Amino acid sequence: MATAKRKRVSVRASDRPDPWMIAAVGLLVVAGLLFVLDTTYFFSRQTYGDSYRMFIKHVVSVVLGGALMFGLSRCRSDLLERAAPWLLMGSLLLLCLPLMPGVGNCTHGACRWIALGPVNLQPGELVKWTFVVFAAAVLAAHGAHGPGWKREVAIVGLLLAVITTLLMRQPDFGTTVLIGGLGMGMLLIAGLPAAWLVAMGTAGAAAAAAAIALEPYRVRRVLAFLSPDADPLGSNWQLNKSLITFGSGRWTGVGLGSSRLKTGWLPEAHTDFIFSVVGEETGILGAGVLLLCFCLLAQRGFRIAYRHPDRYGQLLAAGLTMALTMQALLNMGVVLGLLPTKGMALPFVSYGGSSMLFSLACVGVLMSLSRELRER
Amino acid sequence: MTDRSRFGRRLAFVGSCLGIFALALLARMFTLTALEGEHRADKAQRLTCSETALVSFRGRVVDRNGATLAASLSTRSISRSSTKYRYDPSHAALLAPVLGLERGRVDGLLKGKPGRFQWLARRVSLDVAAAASRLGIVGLEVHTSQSEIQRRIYPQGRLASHVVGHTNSYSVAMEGVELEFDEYIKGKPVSVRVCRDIHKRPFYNESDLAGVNWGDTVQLTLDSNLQSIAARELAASLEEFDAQSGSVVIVEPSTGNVLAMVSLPDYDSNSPWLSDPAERRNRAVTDNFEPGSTMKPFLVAAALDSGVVSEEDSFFCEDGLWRYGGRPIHDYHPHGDLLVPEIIKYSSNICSAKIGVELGAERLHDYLERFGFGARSGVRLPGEVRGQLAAAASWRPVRLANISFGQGMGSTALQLAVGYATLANGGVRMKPRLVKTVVAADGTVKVPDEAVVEGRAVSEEVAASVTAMLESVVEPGGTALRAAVDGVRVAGKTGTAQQIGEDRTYVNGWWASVFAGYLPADDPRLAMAVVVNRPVRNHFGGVVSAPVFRRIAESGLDYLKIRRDQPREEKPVMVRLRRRVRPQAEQEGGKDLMPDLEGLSMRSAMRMLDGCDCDIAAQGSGYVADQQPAAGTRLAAATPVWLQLLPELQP
Repeated sequence: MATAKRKRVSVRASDRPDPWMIAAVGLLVVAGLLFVLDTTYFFSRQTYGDSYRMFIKHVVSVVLGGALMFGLSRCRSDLLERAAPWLLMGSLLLLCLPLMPGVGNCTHGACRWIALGPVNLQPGELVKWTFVVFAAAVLAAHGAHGPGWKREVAIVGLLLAVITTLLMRQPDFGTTVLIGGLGMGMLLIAGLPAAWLVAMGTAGAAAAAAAIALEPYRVRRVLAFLSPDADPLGSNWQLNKSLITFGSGRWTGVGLGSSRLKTGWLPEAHTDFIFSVVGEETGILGAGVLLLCFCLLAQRGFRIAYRHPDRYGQLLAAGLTMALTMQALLNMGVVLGLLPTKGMALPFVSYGGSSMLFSLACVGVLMSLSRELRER
Repeated sequence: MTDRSRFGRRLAFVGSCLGIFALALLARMFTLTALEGEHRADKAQRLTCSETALVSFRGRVVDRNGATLAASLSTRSISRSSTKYRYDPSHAALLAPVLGLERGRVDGLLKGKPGRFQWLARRVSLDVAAAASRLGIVGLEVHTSQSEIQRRIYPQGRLASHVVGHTNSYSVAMEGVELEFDEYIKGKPVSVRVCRDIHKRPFYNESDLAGVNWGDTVQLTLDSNLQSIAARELAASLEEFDAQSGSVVIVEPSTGNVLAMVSLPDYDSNSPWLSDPAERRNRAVTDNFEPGSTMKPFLVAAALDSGVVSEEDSFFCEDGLWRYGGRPIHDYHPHGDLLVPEIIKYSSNICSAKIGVELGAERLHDYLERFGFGARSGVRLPGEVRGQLAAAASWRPVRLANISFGQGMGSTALQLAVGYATLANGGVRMKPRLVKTVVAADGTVKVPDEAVVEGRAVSEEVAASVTAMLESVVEPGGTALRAAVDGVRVAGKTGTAQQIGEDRTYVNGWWASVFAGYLPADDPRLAMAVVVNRPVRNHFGGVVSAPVFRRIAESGLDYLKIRRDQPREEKPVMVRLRRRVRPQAEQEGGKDLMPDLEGLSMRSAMRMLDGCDCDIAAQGSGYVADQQPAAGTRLAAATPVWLQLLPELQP
């Protein structure tokens, strides 16, 4: 495997994608539909005068994402490998667009969106996907250009630096951290020696610390995270409300639709903090089921990676799985107050078209990879 | 395969990192929900108070001496939760003493209809609510919603209930001064957050309630003691003559202050729902009656003031029957020639009509208006009526003759009292008022204590000579000898008029027996109108209403310490000055004998009677003036003991 590319086995229509993964993702998407309707109902009526407007948008992105997923699940992974550099170039170009005046669309002081008529595209979500697709291709080629890891480390490191710089200009700290972690994870899985990893990790941590220290609101968030009881009306407002919301659900929750804090008390209840509302309305039971779904997704994704006959497929499956589960766990960690607050959606569940689209795209690729598995 | 197994190891490493983080998340969820969930749910509940309500605590209504007539208590209500409560037989034993209810009843409330919401105690004091929640019974709820946070109480019950009025169970004013002065009594409402529990039931936060304002204190001109005396004596008269209803109004002539306003039958302001609408009506201001002969002084005053007649003029009273305007006019006792003062003294309808004819409709109407008839007095009570006084232009001759002796017009008891108070006040009419001052909780005066002059009705000389005539009414030979009070000069006039039924004609046997007057005549302190409706046993104002006037005046003068010329001989009401109680042991005869209680306060008297197994009833307030049985009588078990208390008097 290390020397030359193997002849790929063609995908046959009779090969079914992994049913467990479909079940886990299906459950998450259904839960997402439920809770998005629940949490946007009032907010949508307030902003648009139509209680269902945001929900319908969400349904549309689920349908589009589903189509994308279906299409990608029919697509052979070696095609993706060949398209990887072009996909990356395209997404990096898109990543520049929000920074251009007139094209970018800013809310809450962050310019993360490209205005495309009625919809806004968030290229940060796309980049996560193309980064994994490209990095897997680079790492799969390890050994073809001689021994050692200099080339791989150089390419991935440079790519990370470029993406990080662009993302921090928006700024989008959450996605930056995620992509940094993703890069490290993929290098680790690809077999990078520990010494390299430690060196890169130290560099990344130093960069992150610098990024925090240079921006006052990030310093406040970290300080707030370190002393959660100080300043409950200021920087800890959101976290406080999130903990109250989640905690008041107890074991089985206050009942679907009965959330008390969703009506304005909990900021971003339909996007980044939707998991609190899940906790409030369905208790630790419902929240645990969602966590379990992501664990199942990780298990199935890593199983596909382990069983895939081809080096690129292995790395791609592991990378996409990490992208989805790491983001989910980071989001939950923020909601539950284990990590400092940063903007990050819960895949499949949160309101937001781009996130839904590319999360389902990841699943589509994973499905296609799962169809290429052969009994060994 | 080494590559694959190394890849597998690395995958497993990353997977277990993610797994450990997932476990950390799970542990965090557990602490948040299971361990701190209750605390956080409480916080959520306190947070989600998105509505607001305007809340205030009602101020007090007090009489002119500061005695409380209406007050609000801060309360809470206690209920049994529909879902959380689990019945246990021991709960009733714990709760019953706290709530002050019978154990069996509490047990029934706790046991019955499981799974349903059940009130256990409505609007109990804060202490009781705190004690109940301290019992630690799961599923007991303390309610703080609009209807449960205050209770209106009327310590005097029926006394002055028509004047004070009442509120509904939400402490919203419904009647009387409560309604008329609601803007003051209600106070300045504070916006309070309304929270909702899981069943969408509203409640307020205790911390918010701590900042709610109390309303202003309204001080009435009423005197509880005079009111009590008036109510007692009127009730006795209604009983004696089997009358349907009645009212008494006492006005202080110099200020227009209404010292008492009684309407019978009455109701208890604490439980207005138990009464009939007829009992809740304040007849003293809402009911018209024909004042009859009590109008004659105003006729004579008008005639004297306008110079149409003089005191020396005399009129021929036609020996009891005179046809005027095509209708016969009768006198009860036929008279020949009568001087003007005698017309009042003997109450001749025929001669009154003749004076009225001399005076003319325009002038009579004008003077009656000056005395306050035909217009609302402005005393500020809901439902006050104007009385009936048609425009002078519409008076046909027979109407003029009738109005001259008080028929064909209508007056309220208050208007009549105000008219007599005007004569008593030297002809100057004061605006009657029930509210003396309104003082805010912080001491600022919202409504100052100011008497309002309405204007002069007649000259002082005319008022004085009419007063002299009215005094003769109460003298031997006059119609109201029964209104005479020993040691004090009384001016007054009787009136007896038929009442009009629903078909707008006079009904046989329906009478209004009226007496109006003032005393002491030389320096009037009280002007009073007594109206008894539909007495059965006798209907003459001089027989039915005059004694009521006398009895109220006697007790009232004593209470007000108005000096009488000669103390009455038969029954001195002087009370010894305060006496200090001696210990029981020093009492001769030991505890089996009735002690001498005269001059003791109620509290001391009760102490003296402590240990006596007798049935004690006390009347009045102040110090013991009379006792039954006499001192030294042997007391058996359940001996009835009766005490009469009177206010402290100067010897």
